[in-house]
Amino acid sequence: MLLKIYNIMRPITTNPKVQMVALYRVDGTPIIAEVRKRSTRFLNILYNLENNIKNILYEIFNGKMEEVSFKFKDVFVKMYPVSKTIVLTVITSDELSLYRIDVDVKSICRKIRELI
Amino acid sequence: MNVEVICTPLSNYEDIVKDLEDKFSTLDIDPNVLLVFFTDTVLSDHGKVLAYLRDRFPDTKMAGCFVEGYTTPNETWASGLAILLVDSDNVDVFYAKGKDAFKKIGRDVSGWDASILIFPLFYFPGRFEMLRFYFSNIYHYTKYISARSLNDKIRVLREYSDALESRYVYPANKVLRSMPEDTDIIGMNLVPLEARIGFPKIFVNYESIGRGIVAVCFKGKLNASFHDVFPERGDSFEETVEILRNTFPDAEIVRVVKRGVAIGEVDGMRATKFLEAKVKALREMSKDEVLSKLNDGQFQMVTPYALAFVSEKTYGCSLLGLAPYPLGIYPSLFDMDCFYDEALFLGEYYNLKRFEELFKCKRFEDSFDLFLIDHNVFPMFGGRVTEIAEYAREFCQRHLGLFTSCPSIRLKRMEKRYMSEIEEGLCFTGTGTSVILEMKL
Repeated sequence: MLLKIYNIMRPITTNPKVQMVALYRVDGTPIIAEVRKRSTRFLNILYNLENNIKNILYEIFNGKMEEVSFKFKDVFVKMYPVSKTIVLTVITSDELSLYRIDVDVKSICRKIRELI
Repeated sequence: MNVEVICTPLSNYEDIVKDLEDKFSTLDIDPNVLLVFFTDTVLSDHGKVLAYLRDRFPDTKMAGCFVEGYTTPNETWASGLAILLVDSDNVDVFYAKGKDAFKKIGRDVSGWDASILIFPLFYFPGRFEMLRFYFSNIYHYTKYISARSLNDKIRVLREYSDALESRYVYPANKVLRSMPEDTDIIGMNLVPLEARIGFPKIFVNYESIGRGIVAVCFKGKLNASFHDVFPERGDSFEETVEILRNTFPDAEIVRVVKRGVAIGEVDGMRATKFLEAKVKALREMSKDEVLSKLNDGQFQMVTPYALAFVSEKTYGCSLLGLAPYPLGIYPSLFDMDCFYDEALFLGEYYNLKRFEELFKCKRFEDSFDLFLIDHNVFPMFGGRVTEIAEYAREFCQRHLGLFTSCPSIRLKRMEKRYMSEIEEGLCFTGTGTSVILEMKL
């Protein structure tokens, strides 16, 4: 199952504009995470996300928020709910690419939903 | 005619080739024409992918370009690439390069039922050429502001417009107008959302052709339809202006000095200064900023502000985006000679749902449909553009949809009084347009 989900996520994990992609469980545990370049900076962001993800997911699943995006200096993080229990997180340093990534993520979320 | 579509949303060369090979092996088609549409994520590897396709289909004619994204019956992506494989004697590819390329291509297009013209509206040549463009702009603007009479100003604008057309701009309406009347023409007039040096890239037979025009010609049972998201135009200048004012409540009338594809002033100021005066949050970019952004592929060509010009011929309207570029004379992407000197300054906005109406123009039920949607929906609606794919699925059985810059059309007769019909049977405007070509199999 994980391998299938990983393959579905390949369009954004191979996208040169994307720095990191992670799929989180509702309790904040990362199921899949792929980082383009190893750096402590992204590890810090991952750690930060793990700590905050429960609250964010609570807001998303209560219908108060549809998507969540925030900015760390020049890094943009966007979180998309995939199902009731998982959320997809994409990190990019190119703000202009976000609307293109949005389109890809919608397709990926649909495919993951169909699978699970 | 046998048509198949395959696509891969992957971005690495090795992954792309593996995925394409898997998909080619499931197809039973020996194509004689390949149409290849790359997206931005394949930019670094597109040369290798073209070389692979040339080895895979050495005797097949090929045409292609970069698009913002694509949609097929099963998926919608803004990454990877899509390939349309056509096996038919009723399809051919022609191309021409240089200043008068559109006149040459017109002769090739004659006699075909429909043709898709792929050409750059504005071509960004090398860095040196862009500097030349900038200094030529300053030189002509200096001449413009020192001109004593309006006639002298117009003469300078004409001179600069000719210079623009010879090296950088193919005016959309001029290109479509010069095509033979017996052929339906679909304009895939390219201007990227984010420009870089050497863009827009257009390919023929697995090679980039620089600034040139490609015609993909079709014969057979075809139907080309157009749609724009605006209300129908009026029967007079005043009526069209009134309709535009109702559609864009903040629109205001301005006076423009223009000739050909050059705008000298808007309400007595150069266009960029006018924009700065109206939108306080904007500031004029510097030359170095532009060159640096062009190098990085981050030079934004999309803007929510526009001038709406009303046609003297049809009372239709065409929008020209205004952005804070460091230019004296502002270039246009269409020939403005047949437009009134009074225009409207407005902020663009429309509803995504209006694109559904394109599919309602369909005539054939069992056709293969190639449709083009204005790529401005990407920055406007982000992930919501997948809704367009849902409209397509409802009306089309087999299709390939491409998100590209403001598609245009030249037909013998239009079905409706489209706002963007700026010459008889010719529709072009800077945003909100869509075109569909139905091919009966």
